[in-house]
Amino acid sequence: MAGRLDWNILKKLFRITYREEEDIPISDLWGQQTMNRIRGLAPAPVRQGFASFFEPFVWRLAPVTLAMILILSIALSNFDMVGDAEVFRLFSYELEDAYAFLDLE
Amino acid sequence: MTRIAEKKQLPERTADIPSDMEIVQRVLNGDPEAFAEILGRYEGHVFAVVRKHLPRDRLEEIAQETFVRAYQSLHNFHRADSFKQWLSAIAVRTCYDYWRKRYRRKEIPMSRLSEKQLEWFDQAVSLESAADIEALGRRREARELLDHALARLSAEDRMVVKLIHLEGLSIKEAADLLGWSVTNTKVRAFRSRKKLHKIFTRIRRD
Repeated sequence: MAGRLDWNILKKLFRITYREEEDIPISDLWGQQTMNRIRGLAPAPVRQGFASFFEPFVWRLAPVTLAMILILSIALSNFDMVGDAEVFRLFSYELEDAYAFLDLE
Repeated sequence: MTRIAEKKQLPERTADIPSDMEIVQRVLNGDPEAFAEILGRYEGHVFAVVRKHLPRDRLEEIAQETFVRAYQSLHNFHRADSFKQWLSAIAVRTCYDYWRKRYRRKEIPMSRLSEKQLEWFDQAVSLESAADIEALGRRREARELLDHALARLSAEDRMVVKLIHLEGLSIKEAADLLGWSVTNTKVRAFRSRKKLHKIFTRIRRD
């Protein structure tokens, strides 16, 4: 059974290997091949403004937005807006009364 | 054939030599041939980065992929950044992607260690100082042992081990190169160190 391994010894051991400089040859054709690949690509994309960042999202969310507009339009046409406003006004008066009552105390 | 060691880095800017930013601007203005200047300036540096992470037979492929990615992302390069640092990050991330693909396809060979390698390891870990380890020599065994252990880590842990524990970069530097948060990199560094230690402890026990 071996004793506990020292992490620092391990690190030193492998760092020596890791830092070992090797003379690796690069093929003369490599640069030409890379440039040929670059030439075959579309022109490098230009810097885009902040607004264009959202462009892909706009088109992706367009159907959802349209569906939401339709649903909300139908829902609004079915609501009794005047009635709701009346109920709200009634509660707002009561709220004022409640505050007035609290101030008295 | 050209040797990497023979390639000298040009200074960032002299009177006649255009700066990196000027070349980038030329490429962005529709002159892809100007990219050859960037290639000539930084191929030595990119090879030096990728060879620390990849097997020899993949160096040219991944170095080329690094330059292609750099070309496609040139519009993201900011004037305030160092081009060399920006390119290094692309090179490191390309290496990381290479390992991720290999691990996903389960292409990492899980070799068994030979008696000779185990014997060398036992001898090496019982040494006291760095000088003794240097004197021990037989770096081939060390390299094979390291490859054996790294094959048992994930792509993420492999990158962290190489950058932080072997190359000696700080957590912040490694995080910048990998595009991860400092906290994530720190946690990974800690866990990968524990995993590596466990692997070598197991090797020694066997």
